[in-house]
Amino acid sequence: MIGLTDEERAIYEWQMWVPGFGEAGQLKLKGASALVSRCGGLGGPLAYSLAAAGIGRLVIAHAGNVVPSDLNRQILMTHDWIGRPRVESIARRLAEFNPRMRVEAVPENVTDQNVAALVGKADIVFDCAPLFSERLALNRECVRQGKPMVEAAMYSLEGQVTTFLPGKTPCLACLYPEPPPHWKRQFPVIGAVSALAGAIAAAEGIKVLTGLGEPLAGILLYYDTAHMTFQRIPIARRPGCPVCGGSPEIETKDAP
Amino acid sequence: MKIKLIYYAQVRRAAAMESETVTAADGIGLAEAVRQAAERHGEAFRTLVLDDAGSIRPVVLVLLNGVPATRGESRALRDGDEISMLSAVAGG
Repeated sequence: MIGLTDEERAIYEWQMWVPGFGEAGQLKLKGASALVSRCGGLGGPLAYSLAAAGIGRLVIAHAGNVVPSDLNRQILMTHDWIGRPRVESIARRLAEFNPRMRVEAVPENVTDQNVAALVGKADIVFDCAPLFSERLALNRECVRQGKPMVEAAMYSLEGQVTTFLPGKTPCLACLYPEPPPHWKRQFPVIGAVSALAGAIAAAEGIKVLTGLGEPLAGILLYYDTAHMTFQRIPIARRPGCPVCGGSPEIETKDAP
Repeated sequence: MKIKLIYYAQVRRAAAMESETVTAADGIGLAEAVRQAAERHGEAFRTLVLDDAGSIRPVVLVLLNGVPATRGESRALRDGDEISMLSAVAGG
C-alpha cells in the first residue's frame, strides 16, 4: 500500500485526529478515485472538499465553456476563463489547491455512450448533473458495475442527498422511475445552498470510502434552508425496479 | 377533520405557499386529499403532481407523517395527519 509522505502527514494531521479516521483512513482516501458528474454549483464544492480531504484521483465530467451565469455558484470557474472550457478551469483550480491529486478532466457530460467508461474509472460516483437523463444513465451504470453512487440535488433553497449502495439500498430509479416531465435545465439556485448539498455529499463519499460513520443508505436527507430544517426520509426499494430489480439479492461490490 | 399539506421544491412554487391546513371530509384517503389540493391550486400544480389520468405522478414523493406513502395507500386520513409533497429535482 502507498504510504503517506511527510508533506501529506503535515497537511492532513488535523483530519487524522478524527476518531475512526486516522492514518488508515487517510491512506484509503489516497488510494481512492471518484467520478464527479458535472462540477458546477454542487459538484464544484464537492470536488473541492474531496481535494481538500486528500483523495488520490478525481475524474471530472463536465462539458461546455464558462459563462457569466456560472459564477454565482460554480466556485471552480473563474472570471478570466469565461468563454473557455469549464473542465480546464476546474482542473486548474483543483491543481492549485491539491497538486498531489491526479485529475482527469473529461470535457463531456454523461451520455449513454460514455457512461460505462466514466464509471469504470472510479471507485465511487457523485451524481451532480442538472438533467435527469444524465442522472438515470449514471444510476443504471453504477448498479451494473456495483459502484456506490452519492446522489445530490437541489432546487431554490432546498436540497437532498442520499447514498445508493447497489444491492443494499434503493437506486435512483426506485426513487424516481422516470424523468419528471416538468424539470427544466435552468433552475433557481443560491450558491450556498448548492454548496451545502455538495459538502454533505462529499462527507458521504469520504465515509463510504473509509468506513467512517453510517452513510445515508436508504435515507433521503432533505433540507430546506428557508427554515433551516433537515428531514431524514426513509426510502425503500421499488418492487420490480427495472434497474436494480428491487430485490436484495444482487451481487455487491464494496467500496475500497 | 383538519389535515396539513406541506409543499416542497417546485410544488411549493406551483402552490405559491409552503403549507396549508385544510378541513377535509372524514374518511377521505391520501390520493383524494392530493387531488383536492390540485383543484385548489390550479393547472400548474395539477400537471406537476397528477398525470392525465388523475393519478399522483411517480416522480412526486408523497409523505404521510414524514414517511413515504406507498402507491395505492388506502387508509383513511386521520385528524392531524400531515401530507408532504416533494417534486423530483436535479439542480446542481
